[in-house]
Amino acid sequence: MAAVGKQRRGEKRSRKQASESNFPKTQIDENSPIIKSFRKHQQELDSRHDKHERLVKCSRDVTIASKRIIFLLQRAGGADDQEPILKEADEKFLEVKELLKTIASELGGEDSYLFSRAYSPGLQEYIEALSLSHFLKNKTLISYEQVKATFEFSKEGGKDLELNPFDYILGVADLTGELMRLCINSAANGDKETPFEVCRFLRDIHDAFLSFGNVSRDVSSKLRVLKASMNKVEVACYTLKVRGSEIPQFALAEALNTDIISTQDRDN
Amino acid sequence: MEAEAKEKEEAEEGKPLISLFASFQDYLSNDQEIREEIKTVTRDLEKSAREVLAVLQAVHQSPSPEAVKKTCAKSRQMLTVVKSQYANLVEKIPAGQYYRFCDHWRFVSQRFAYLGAFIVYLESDRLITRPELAEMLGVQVERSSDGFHIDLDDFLTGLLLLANELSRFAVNSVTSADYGRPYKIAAFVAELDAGFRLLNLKNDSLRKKFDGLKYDLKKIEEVVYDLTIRGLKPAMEEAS
Repeated sequence: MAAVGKQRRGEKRSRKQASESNFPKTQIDENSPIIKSFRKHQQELDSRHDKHERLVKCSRDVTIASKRIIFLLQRAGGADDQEPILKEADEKFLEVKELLKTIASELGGEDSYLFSRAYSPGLQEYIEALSLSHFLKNKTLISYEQVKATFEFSKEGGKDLELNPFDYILGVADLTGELMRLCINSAANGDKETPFEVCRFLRDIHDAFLSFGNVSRDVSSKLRVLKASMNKVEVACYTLKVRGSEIPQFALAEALNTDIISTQDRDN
Repeated sequence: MEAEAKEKEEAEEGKPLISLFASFQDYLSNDQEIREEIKTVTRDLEKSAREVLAVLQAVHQSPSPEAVKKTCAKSRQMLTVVKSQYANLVEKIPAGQYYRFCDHWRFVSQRFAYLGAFIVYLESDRLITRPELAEMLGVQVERSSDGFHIDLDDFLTGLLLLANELSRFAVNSVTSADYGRPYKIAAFVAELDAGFRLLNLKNDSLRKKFDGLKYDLKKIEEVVYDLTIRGLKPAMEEAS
């Protein structure tokens, strides 16, 4: 039945098309100056849109790869031996780098701000992953210059990718969400140090963000999320401190989770 | 003062991240400053655009060829100020960052594209070219020449504004008994429409503006229809 219906619809469409083609078409005079100039505009617009699409695709790939790295790194939280996981992440970063190189070469000779909306999400995700791995290794925040250094491809014969400071800041803001997860995971795994470390670190980032003031809507909205993450981590640390000594190891995770759920309810 | 400085130092020592973000802070205030400057300059441009527009509106009152000629000459005269104003704006923008700030002058550039196109149409019944507009405003034609230019999107938006204005002009020409003009305008806008239909537009503001073009065209065609059924079509037009 369904097949018949489909066919019928198809017939209808083809008939409609046929009747449309019976209409006299307005003749386009190819030699008129207007049409000629619009042909040129068409080319310019198309090439710009195509580039935009290619960049969006690249950015999507960077996002996906970076997300995978972040998931991988989350497994390092609370693990006994972080070395192999970090090493694996480093290898995956090389793949992302290839993608970033493609973006850089696409942007060569263009005004990068024209296409920033196409590739910024990917960059931010990449910075998030990079800073998370940096934190796991060094317990510090990766600096703008350090991130910028990974975008330099001119030595390898490519083009450098400009890093917009806003992308860096927004990427760091995203990092705080991951840190929150890291804190909870490691606490649940019975790690007594990492949660407090993360808590301190989050507070530092939060304080630094406060100093920016009202600069852009993106930053302010991220600051709100940041505050929520910090709250959860602080409550988790509180729970660990107060009850950590009393609660048996197996029930700790549950206790932490209920605390977090209650803060979430309050936030909403 | 010294104590304050020391205190600050200590605070920064305790919060290493703040110093890490200090350069970003600089970047932000710098960014804000540039934007402020651009805003003041674009305000001048907007003022000139309004003035030229006000002068050009006179053609609706008196569409006789002589009056139109005079109006066009006057508006062209006024546009000379714009060149220096655009030069001012160009100075404020760091090299290669046109698109970082372009939202500030997008609207006014569209306005000028429209005004330039309207003047050229009134003078010689044809479509303005990008080099012509660039010459009129004292800017570069293409981005590749590495300088201030009128973005293609803005140029095209200006042309759509022109179509809208012409639909009004067709109506007013008839009111002042100029029955030949609507036929010319109809042919011109139809060609413009054909041109726009060659473009593969994305779902953005330009596309939205383009969707309005058909109504302008329809309005002009209705005027032509009204004239034709009443036998008001000038003999000269029929011959061509």
